Amino acid sequence: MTNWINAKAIKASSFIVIKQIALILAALLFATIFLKASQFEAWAIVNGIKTSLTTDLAGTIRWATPLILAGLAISITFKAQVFNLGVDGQLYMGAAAATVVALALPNQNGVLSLTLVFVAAMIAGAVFALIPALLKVYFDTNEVVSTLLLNFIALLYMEYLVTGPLRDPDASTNLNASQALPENTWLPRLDYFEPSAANVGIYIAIAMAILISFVYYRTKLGYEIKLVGSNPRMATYGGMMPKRTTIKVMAISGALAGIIGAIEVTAIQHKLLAGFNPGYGFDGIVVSLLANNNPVGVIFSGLFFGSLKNAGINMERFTDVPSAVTEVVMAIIILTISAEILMPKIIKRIKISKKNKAHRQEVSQND
Amino acid sequence: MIDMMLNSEVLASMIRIATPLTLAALGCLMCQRAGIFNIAIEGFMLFGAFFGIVGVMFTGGNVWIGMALSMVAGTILAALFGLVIIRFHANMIISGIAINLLSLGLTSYLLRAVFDVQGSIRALNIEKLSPVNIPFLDAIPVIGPALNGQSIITYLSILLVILVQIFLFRTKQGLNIRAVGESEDAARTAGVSPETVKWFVVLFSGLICGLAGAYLSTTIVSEFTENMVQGRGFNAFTAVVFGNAHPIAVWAVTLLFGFADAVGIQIELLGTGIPPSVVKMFPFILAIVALTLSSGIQKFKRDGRSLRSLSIKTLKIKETKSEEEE
Amino acid sequence: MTFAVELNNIRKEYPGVVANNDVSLFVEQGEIHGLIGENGAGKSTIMNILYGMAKPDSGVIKILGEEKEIQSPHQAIQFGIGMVHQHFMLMPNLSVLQNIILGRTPTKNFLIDEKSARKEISEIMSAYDLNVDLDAKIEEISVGQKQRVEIVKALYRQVKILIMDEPTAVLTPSETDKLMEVMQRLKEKGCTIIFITHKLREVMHVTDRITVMQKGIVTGRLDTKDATIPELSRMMVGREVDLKMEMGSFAPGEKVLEVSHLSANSHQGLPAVRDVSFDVRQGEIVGIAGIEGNGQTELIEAISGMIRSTHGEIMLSGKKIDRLSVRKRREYGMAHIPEDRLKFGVSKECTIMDNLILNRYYQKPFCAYGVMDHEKLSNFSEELCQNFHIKTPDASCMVKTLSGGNMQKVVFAREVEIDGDLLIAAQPTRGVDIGAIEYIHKKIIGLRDSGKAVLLVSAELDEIMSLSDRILVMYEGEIVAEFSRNEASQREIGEYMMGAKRQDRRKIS
Repeated sequence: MTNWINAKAIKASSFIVIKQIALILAALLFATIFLKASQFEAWAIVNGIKTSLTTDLAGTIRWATPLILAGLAISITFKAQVFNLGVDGQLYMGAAAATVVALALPNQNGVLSLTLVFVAAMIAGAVFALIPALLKVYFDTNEVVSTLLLNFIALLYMEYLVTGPLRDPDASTNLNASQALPENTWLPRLDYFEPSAANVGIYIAIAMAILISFVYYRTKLGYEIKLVGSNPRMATYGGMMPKRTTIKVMAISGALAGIIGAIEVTAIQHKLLAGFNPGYGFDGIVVSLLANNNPVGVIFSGLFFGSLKNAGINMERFTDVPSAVTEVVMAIIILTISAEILMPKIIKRIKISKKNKAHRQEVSQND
Repeated sequence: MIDMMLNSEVLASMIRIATPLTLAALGCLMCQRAGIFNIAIEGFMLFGAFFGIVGVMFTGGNVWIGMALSMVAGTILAALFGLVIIRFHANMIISGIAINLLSLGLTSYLLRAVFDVQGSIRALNIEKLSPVNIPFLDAIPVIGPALNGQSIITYLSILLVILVQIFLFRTKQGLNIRAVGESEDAARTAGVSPETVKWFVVLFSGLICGLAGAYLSTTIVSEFTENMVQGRGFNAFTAVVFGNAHPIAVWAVTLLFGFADAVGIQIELLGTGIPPSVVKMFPFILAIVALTLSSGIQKFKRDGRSLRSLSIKTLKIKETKSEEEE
Repeated sequence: MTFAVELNNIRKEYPGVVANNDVSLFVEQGEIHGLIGENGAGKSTIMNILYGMAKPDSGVIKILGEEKEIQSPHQAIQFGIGMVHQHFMLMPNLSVLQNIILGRTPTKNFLIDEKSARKEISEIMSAYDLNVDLDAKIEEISVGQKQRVEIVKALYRQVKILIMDEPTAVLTPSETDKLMEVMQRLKEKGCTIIFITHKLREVMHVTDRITVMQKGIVTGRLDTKDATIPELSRMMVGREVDLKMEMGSFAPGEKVLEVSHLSANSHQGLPAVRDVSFDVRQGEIVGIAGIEGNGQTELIEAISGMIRSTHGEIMLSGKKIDRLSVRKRREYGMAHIPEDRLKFGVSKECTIMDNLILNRYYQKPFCAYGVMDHEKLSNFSEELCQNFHIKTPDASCMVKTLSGGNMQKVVFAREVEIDGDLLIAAQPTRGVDIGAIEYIHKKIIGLRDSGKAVLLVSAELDEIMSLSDRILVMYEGEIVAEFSRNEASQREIGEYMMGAKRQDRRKIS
């Protein structure tokens, strides 16, 4: 993958995009066949996606927002060969910080309040992500396991907050949530799509994608991430410090995850709700994978998965097809991407063995 | 307060709650020993939970068939996992996540497709496994009554802990597994096939996690709810990490998890001020500390080795130089 | 007569290189057969084929007269072939006993029959005087002991043919002597040994017959009693080629690189560089000759900053740099062409431009406030490609599309461009076609003529001899000889490289 956006890069990327689109279509086809076999409405999922992209664009936007951000958070770490599986935990911390700050602010100018809320969320997410980062750098601790563990800790912490210190005293007993946030801290929803939950967060998500792309393609840090990710030994040889890069990347990833938390709290629920996270962290991995870990591609991949998720929800609402099909589609996509990565290798191996066979025949003919 | 926490009832809960964790952890542990990070156990368990209920429902309440079916289902899903990571050398973590997603989607989907039900399904006609009564246990204070009256699967899980311990450390196959986990190349040159070993542990984990899932859906409750595993698979993984893949230690950690769960409510009732969520955090925090310590120690050993052997080798250089000069 | 092992016309090709080109090897029963050659000669490949770890593209293998196909180490063991690997195939966290019985584990009632295993192993250990504590963990025992474990492992499988791949590479001289005794004892008991090494002294000492390989072909077969070290050197190291290069007059200036009493360890923690001192001046090429694995790698790593030296000082243009970071050393004027370009020199998944800007990306005028100037960097890359004749349509192609020679030119261009006072060139023409070799050599001489200091490390003695003003020979981590240009013949220098001779310490500057 090239580091610069020019004609060559666009051509190379289009080739990959076509491959990915083919993959998506194959997965959807498979799902459709699956549906037919289960005697559901066969075209449900295709129709669902169509609706998501036309009449219910709002739902797509609402879901694409956190998915794009999660995909970004994952992509930037994967590029550096760091596996941050802790986006879920980091986004929880971001949400918690956002809530605390929002509730503590006096009634003020909306933009300023929101900025503070978001900054707090980003810092919380980044700091939480620094824990596994520092453990990796100083103790060689495997970040896959440490981030997974921290996810649970964050989730439990959140549970503690909404059932304890932040609990809304007026709420009914079976709802674990914080007090509602003051209106000046509400992230505005998109008027055009009222009364849906589509909100300004989508602009934030896209802006972040553009920012991260800029960082990756045009800055010193982006170049270092690229090199550390592709050949860390060369990076060291050239004078870079891969450990510092790891820390920077995790901090950025955590901050992005924090934004997800902030958006969910300020735009969707308007309060901190227990278990509000349907698993954006892991979905982010799928999003990033499909986009080949490319920050620009994540926008489209996030939009696609947003539409898929929306399709699932609508399908369930209006037909009897369960939304779980979306998970199946996602799983098929991951598995086929993994296999697809291997196809070139397998093809190469077949070619080499054919060549050897031919040579052997040649030699025996010459004897 | 102590006897509020350490009474037989709580301990009995602890053992019951820990059972599926123990089973799953044993599967995960075997994979870990062979060098496979298996986080797909969550998916295996969910699959097993679903097919356990399916087996029950379609045989008019027979739990044994349900459990058998769940083990088959778990193994099949594990076979897919094995295919992707062993044959195609795909990334273990990402493939594990994919399998979990697949399991989640498929089970929810099949719930609708097969039973035309959403959310959860109850097996009303289930012939639950009756609790086993071992009379002499009652004589042992506190622990005895807690151990008594558990399901046969629970006793099986405890037995398996011991069996796995023996298997890993005292049998040939166990040695092969540990060898592959240490160094695939060394194992291969010694004549052991890493692929065969890996297939074995992956399929085993599918089998045993399927059973764990069925236990959840047929014994602890008698229903299947979407996404009912709720992270227990990851807890089992944590237990393996924390217990450093030693069966007895891992079992102890799963008991710890069970204890934290069982005691959680009690503590809240007591008003000691430690919220149950925080109590539940402890195993994870301890796991991170244990993980950091073990990787840190290995790192310092590696860095320190060069310094240590320097001193030994310097002596040797001097020894050889003086030999040559003679 | 039936040979113990007969390898006929073996051919094995890997992408880009023919590792074994029509190689035939004949090993008599009950002999110790030496297989010698430099790194990359193809000895490891042919032995991997014999041990079932690689499949030959063509050729026939016969064990004790019977044609066999060896598909895996498991099969090789069944045919009575065992191997003691150069890089130990041991499991650090398991005990010696466990390592030995892996793959041939006796069982009783489903459990491992430790008692009988211990008995059998103890017998082997005492028969050959190869004693090691069976319950010690591998990571706790010494290198010499680890090797004994490897040998016992093979003996435990009742092998009749034992391949020993560079066994003395990691041993001290006294451990080596012990090993030679073990080999004699094995021979007395009827074992056939194939002894791979590049240390001629040892080969002369313990073998019955020798096969020499170079660059994938067999260059000689002889009885040990008829062999001489000079002749073996010649067969191993190469033709007496005269790559006469035009060089300007030798007028060295100030000292650029000063290395004093430098010591450093390998990645395994063993001492690799022992008390090395030398200088490189302006306008001078100092070549370090030596078989790979004698400390050159670690020496360069220590000088460039990739590893920390354990002792000694390094000065660059008068500045003490041995505690400085890699980047700082580069900024003070050190350029480095690494010996393994795929590992360190290039990033295959990146473009040519990405690889070319490694030294400059963060500097003005290419970078301001963290943002890189694409246009400037692109022009810079295109210029470099042109000036250094890198054959590519443009710099945004992926570096993996380049041939080995062109890839090396990328590395070369990048390092030479920074115009440092010192250029370290390690194996600069390895895996590179003739045209590129010529080009790189001319450029190196050009640098030297314009007053730069060049430290050249190469396993190709031709290269060292044709380019260097001064030649230092490295053996087992020490500088054992120094020659000025044209002072010694290739044969002579070869002897120092093999450790057969050593100059008086006082002679070396």
